Amino acid sequence: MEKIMHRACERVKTILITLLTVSMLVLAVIYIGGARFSGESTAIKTASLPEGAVALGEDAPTKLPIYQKDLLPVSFAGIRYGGKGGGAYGTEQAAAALFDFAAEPIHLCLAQGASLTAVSAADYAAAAESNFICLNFLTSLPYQMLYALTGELGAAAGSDTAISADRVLLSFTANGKATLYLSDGTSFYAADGDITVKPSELAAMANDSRLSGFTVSENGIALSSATPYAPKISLELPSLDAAQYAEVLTLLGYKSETGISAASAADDGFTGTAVAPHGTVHVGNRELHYTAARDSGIAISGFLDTAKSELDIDMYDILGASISLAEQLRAIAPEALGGEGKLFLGGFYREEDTFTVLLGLHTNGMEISGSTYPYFAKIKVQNGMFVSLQFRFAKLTKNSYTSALFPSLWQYNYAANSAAVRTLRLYYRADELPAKNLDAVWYFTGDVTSEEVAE
Amino acid sequence: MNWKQVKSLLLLLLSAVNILLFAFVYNYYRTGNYTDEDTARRTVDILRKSDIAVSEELLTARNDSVDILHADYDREDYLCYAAALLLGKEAEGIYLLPDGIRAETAEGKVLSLGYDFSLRYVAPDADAGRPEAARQSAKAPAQDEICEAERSALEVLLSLPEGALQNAPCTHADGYTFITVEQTEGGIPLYGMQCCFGFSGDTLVYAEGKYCFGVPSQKTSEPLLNRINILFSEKERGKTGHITDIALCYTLYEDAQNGSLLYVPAYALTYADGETVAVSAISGKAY
Repeated sequence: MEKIMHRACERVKTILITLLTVSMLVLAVIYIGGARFSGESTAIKTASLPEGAVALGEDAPTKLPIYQKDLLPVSFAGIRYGGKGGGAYGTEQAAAALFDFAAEPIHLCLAQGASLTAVSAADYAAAAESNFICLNFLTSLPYQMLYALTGELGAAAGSDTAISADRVLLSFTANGKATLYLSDGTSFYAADGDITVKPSELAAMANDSRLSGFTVSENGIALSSATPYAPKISLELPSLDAAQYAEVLTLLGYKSETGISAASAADDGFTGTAVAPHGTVHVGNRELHYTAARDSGIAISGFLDTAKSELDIDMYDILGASISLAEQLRAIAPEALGGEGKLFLGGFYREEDTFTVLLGLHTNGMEISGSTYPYFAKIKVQNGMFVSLQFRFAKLTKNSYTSALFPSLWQYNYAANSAAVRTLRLYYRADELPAKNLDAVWYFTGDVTSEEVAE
Repeated sequence: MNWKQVKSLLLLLLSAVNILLFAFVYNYYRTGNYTDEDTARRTVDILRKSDIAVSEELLTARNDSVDILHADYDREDYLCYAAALLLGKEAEGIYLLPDGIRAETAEGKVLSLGYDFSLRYVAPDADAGRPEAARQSAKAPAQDEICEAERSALEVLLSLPEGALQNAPCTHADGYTFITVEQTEGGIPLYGMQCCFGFSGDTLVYAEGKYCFGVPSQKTSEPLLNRINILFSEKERGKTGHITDIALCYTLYEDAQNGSLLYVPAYALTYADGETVAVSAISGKAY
C-alpha cells in the first residue's frame, strides 16, 4: 500500500514539475512579449497622425509642396559609413528611407550661398571611397530642379554652367560635414554648402539590415548583384469618355457655348476636338494634345497656388503649374492618365524663351518608357502661358507581387561587365500598347554599346 | 541525493520561479494599464511644484484604450451635404466666406456653415429674430410639456438611432422647443461639438453651435498617453492652475491630402477658472 502511495506521489510530483515548467515558460513569454510590445508602441506615437493633418477649422494645406510629391524617385540608393552599409533598389523601403535622409543635405548643398565647382571623375571616385550616401535617379535633371524637389523652395545656388545630374553622392567627413557630388556620367561637380549631419544618424542608417552589398563605379553608378523585386505590370489603353472630355475642356478654359467642338464615340474610343480663340485641343485614342493659337495660350497663373504677375513667373512656377495641371487632369481621368502609375519629373529644359517640362510615369522607381510611350506628358510654356500640351494615355496596373522576384541577375551582370557602364537601371519597356504581364528589363548605356536593352 | 529529493527540490525551485514571474507579469500589466495611488501621489507632488493642482482621484484610473476613427471628408462636399440636410433641399445659392460658406434657398432660408463645423440657421419667418429671442428666455419645460415629437424629429434629422436624444436637455419658450445636443461618438464626447436646435412643432427653425455630420467608417489603433503624460505635457507648456476634471474625448482633425476626417482621442482638462483645454492623447499637443 505504502509503495503504491509512494509511486502515486512521485507521479504527481512529475506532473507538477511539467506543469510548473510550462507555466514558467508561458509567463516568461508573456512578460518578455509584453515589455517588447510596450517599447514599440512608444516609438510609433509620433507617427500616428498623417502629415498635413490639421485641427478642424484651421487652414488646411490642400496641396502638398512640390518636394513632397515624390517627383524624384530613386532607382538605387546606397550608404557607406564607418566601414558598414549597403544599398537598395528604388523598389524597396530602405531606398526611400535613404532618400528621405539625404534630401535635406542635398537641398542645402544646392541652395543659394553654396559653391558649385567642376571636379574630376577621380575626385568623384575618391569621394566614393569613404563615407557617403549615393543616389541614382531615373533621369538627368538640372541642379535647380534637384534643389526644388528635395526641400522647401528658396533660391538655388548660382552657377555659370548648366549642370545636370542623374546621380549624386553625399560625401561625409568623420564629424558629419557633407559635400555633394553631382554627375550625369560625363561631367562632375561638387557643391559645398557647409552642411553637417549627425554621425550617429549615419551610423544608424548604415546598420539597416535591409541593405545589400553594392559598389559604386568610377562614374557614380551604383552596382549591386542583389536581386530586385519587380512585379509584372499591365498597360491598357483607355481613352476619355464624353463627361471627362467636357471636364478637360472646362479645365483648359473652353466655354461650352463657344468654339467649334466635334466629338464622337466610336468603337475604338472617344475622340473630340475643340477650337477656341486661345487654341485647339484634341482628344484622340492615344493622347490628349493642345496647341495654342498664335500669341495666345492658357495662363499658367491659374494653376499656381498664389496669384502672380506674368513678369514674376520663374522656372519653379512653371514646374509647379505643370505639375498642378497634370494632377488635375489625372483627377478627371485617373484611368486613362496613368492608372496606378506615379508621376516623376523626367526633364526640364529651356530653348530661348520656351520652357519644356517632361513628366514620366513610374512604379516603384522603375520608369515606363518605350517607342510608343516615351513619356507621360510634354508641356511647353512660353511667356507665362501653356502653349503646347501632350498627355499620353495608358492605364498602369500592378500585377500581383507573387513571383515578383526579378529573375535576371545574368542580364545585370552582362550589362555591368560588358562595357564601362554609364547608365544602368530597371524599367518597363512599353513598345506596344496595350501590354499585359510586362516584365521589368535592364536599361544600360556603356562606352562600347551605346544603348542596349537586356531582356 | 536521490532522484526523489531532486524532484522535490526542482518542485520548490519551479514554484518559486513561477511565483516570481507571476508577480512580475501582474505588476507589469497592472502598472501598464492602471495608475496606482502611489504613482498618482508622486505625480501630484511634482505637478504642485509647477503650480498645477490636481487631485489624486483624477489620476488613479485605468488607462483608456480608444481607436482613432476615420471618416471620408472633403470640405466642399461636406458643407454642401450638411447644408442640404439642414435646409431640407439642395441650396440654390452657395457663397464662399473666409471661414466657411453661406447657403441660401429660393424660399429665403439662410444657413451659415463654418470649416470648424459651426452652424447658424434661423428660419425665414416674419419674425426672423423671434426664435433667437425665445432661446434667450427659454426655460426647462413643465411636467406636462414633453418634447418627444421634437426629439424624434431631431433624431431623424441627425440620422441618430431612436431614443439617442432621450436625455438631451430640452427647454421651451414662446412656442418653440430647444434641444441641446452634446455630440458623442461611441459614447465619447466630441470636443466642443455642442449645438442647440430649435423646433416649432416638428419643423427646424433655429440651430446654433457646432455639429459634425461625418460618419466614421474606419478605425486604427494607437497606444494612448495616460493622464499623467497629459498633465506633464501641460506642465511643459507652462500651464498653471487647478485642474478640476479630466475626461476622455475626441478631437477632430482634417487630413485634406487623404480626404479624411480624423477623430483623435484626447483628454479635456477643465481648470477651476472655467478654462477647458483638449490635449491629444496621441501626441500630447494641445488642440
